[in-house]
Amino acid sequence: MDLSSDVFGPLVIPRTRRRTTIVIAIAIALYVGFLIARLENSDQKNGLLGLQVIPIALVALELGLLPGLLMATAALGSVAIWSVADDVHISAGEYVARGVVYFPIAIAIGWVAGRLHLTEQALENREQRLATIVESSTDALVTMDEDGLILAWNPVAEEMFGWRPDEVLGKDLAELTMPPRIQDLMREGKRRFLEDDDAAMIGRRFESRALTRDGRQFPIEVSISAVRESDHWLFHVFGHDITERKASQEERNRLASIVASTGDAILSFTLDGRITSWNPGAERIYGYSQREALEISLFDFVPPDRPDDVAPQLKTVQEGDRIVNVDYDRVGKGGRHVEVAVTATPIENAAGKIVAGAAIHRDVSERKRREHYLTAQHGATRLLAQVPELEEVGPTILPLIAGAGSWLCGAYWTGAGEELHCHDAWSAPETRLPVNPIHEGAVWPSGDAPTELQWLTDGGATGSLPSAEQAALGGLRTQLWVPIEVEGELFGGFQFFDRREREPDEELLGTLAAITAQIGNYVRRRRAESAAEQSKDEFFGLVSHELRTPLTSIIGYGELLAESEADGLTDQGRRYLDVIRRNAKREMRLVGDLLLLVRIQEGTFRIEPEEVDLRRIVEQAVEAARPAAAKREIQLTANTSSTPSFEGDPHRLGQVVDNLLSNAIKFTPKGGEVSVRLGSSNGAAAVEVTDTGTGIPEDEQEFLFDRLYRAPSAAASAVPGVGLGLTIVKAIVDAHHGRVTLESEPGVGATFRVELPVDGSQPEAEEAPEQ
Amino acid sequence: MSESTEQVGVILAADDDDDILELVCLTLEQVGHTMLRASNGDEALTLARKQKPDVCVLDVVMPSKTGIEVVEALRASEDTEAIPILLLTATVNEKDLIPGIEKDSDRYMRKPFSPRELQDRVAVLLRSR
Repeated sequence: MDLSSDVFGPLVIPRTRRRTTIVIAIAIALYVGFLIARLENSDQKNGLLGLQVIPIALVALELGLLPGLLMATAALGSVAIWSVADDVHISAGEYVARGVVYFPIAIAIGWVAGRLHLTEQALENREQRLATIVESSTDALVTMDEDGLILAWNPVAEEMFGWRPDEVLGKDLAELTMPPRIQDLMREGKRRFLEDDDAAMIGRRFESRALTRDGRQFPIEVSISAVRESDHWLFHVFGHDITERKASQEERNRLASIVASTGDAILSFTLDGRITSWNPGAERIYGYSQREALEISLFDFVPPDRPDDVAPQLKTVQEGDRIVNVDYDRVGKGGRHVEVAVTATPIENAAGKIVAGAAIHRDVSERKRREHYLTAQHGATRLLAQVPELEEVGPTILPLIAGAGSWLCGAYWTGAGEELHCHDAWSAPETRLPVNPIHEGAVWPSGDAPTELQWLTDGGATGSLPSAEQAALGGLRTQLWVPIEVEGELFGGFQFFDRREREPDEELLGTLAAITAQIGNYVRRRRAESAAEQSKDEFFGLVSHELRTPLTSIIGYGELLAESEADGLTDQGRRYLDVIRRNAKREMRLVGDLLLLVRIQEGTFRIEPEEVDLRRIVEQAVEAARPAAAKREIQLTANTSSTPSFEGDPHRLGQVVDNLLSNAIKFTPKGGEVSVRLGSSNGAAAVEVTDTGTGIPEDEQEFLFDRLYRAPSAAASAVPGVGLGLTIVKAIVDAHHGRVTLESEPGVGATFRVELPVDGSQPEAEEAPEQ
Repeated sequence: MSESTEQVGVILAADDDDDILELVCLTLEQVGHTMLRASNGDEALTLARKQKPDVCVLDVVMPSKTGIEVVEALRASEDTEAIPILLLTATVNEKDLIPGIEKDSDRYMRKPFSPRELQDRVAVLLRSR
């Protein structure tokens, strides 16, 4: 409303019905007045009639062109009537002249009136539009005058600043809504505009800060337009709260600065692997600048010797899944090797379709390298703890430490005396070409081998290591020699090669030094052990011989005496002789058991298989045990059936039954029972020895077959023995691929059951690989 | 087994332990054999070459030459290669010492032995000639 008057002010006459009525009435009054005055005053010529243009103009102006023309026609008509009726001579020329005057006046006035009417309507529309805009604007809209006083204040402004229109009209806008610093800027800008004609502040959008009623500041986007109204200026101020925009912009800035400053590679890529964004972290890890990176694809980072692992990654992302912290070997610019932990996630477009991926690659090379070293060290320690043969040390440890050090190939040298031999050669599994310059069986004079660690890169002392020259020619630019020393003497060593020119890695060297020291110690220990083992063997051989030789005489002469000279002895003498013979045999058995035990312990115990008749063996053992049973008044019964003959060691199997029987008799109180059963079923023969002795508590059963284990119950009841019997039983039965089981109820008795496979196939089959 | 006297022969016994040598001789003389005695390997070899006994009963561990070495020397010569030999062993590692005779249970015997068994084994060897 105010606006329209600003622009068109004096021209616009708002038309009302009342005014129209008054104008028409005046026009008609004038018309009639002029007509009557002419009739009354006939002497006057036609001057009064000329005044008829006034009512014509009034009508045309007020009502438009057509009423104007009508009025003009009416005026001409009245002139015509006049001239006919009153005999006043108006010539035809005069009549036409009047028409020429009246009609153009009507037309001109009517046209102007029509234009004015249209303009008025346009103005009305525009006002309405403006009102709508002002009312519905999402911007605050405030009008102020040259002094900065508020003239208009829309609802958004009310909401934005918290002031109602009636509270602010006529107040200083700057003081009310701006922080002090902005107030000054505002006043200065306004001053420049008004005084210096500097419109820098006008017609532009700029960001500023505003103040609410409760003193809160917020970011605002402002634009100011200036309107000249007659002699003064009006300023329309549009304000838009940009708090949210600023917040999201800040968030974007924050993210951008994280992306720019993080040490991780952050990149995005298309679903076919092309790189579309590349942060400084990526540049640092892979060496490619952003410009370079945008021209390559993820596939270019796969090490040339490795299978493609990018396609599966892309597929995962394409299917909408994330990859979380998966480790990959990558190769960057110039072949630099990096291990990264990759987290990748799909990117959707607005329609929810997956169109790209984003990934974070964290450089874990350092951690991985440490892990590899640690793994190698643990692996070596574990291996050596398993007491491997010296032969196995190289082939097992070489791949372990060569892999951990990321070498391309390597060799393990070992030897004594004049020469070192290449015991094992190793190449990285993914290496496609045979690159190892060292072959198994290669020979190297020990004198040439350095006793110090050597790390050679291009241009190093290429002659000092075997095949060094060849390796250098073959593009293996880094070589490493790690010697193994045993008691100050060179025992062997590891040699490694790589294509890359590598700087000495102290951590790796430390690990290798630790491992070679471990190997050196192990070799020394093994040597000492094998020396000890040998002397032990010799010792037992000697003991065996020295113990058996006198026993041979005691037993042999005892038997001779009993056979051929017994007649000359008294009954008493014969009893004494029996005691000697019996104890000699017992000692013989004991010596045999001890030696057997030594072999079991060494793992060198072997049976001497031949065709055996188990029934005969059991029966013989039972007969041999009868005297001992009788002495303790134990009833010894045997229930044997014949079993299929099989391959076994009759002497040792006899020992098994002997031991079980002697145990049973030992642990059965006087007057008890011991029974032996022999039967066979399902390809197995079973010997069971049951007694009515003290039995074996469950907690003792599991230790029963341990060497030198003596049941506490046995010790308690002073049963003699050294605890060898069951250990020997188990070893012999094991050697026959059979098994020993025990059922016992304390206080009731025990049953030992020995099962031996007799179908022949099983022992043969299992024995074959051992030989 | 019978106390066979159907075949008697000249038996060379060698053992560095006098008591055992005596035991072997006594045992075998009981069944009618004629005994030659040696107390070490060299003696045994010399006697065997000179007297060509029907059977040799040799201790394994002896001074100057072991029973094994005596066997090897006898086998090396046409004159003596056919003489049956019974080795008496008292060691725990007899298998290692007698690689060639390992499976041949007729040709070695563990100490201590029973006189009867020795007689039987010698009889078997005499028949096998």
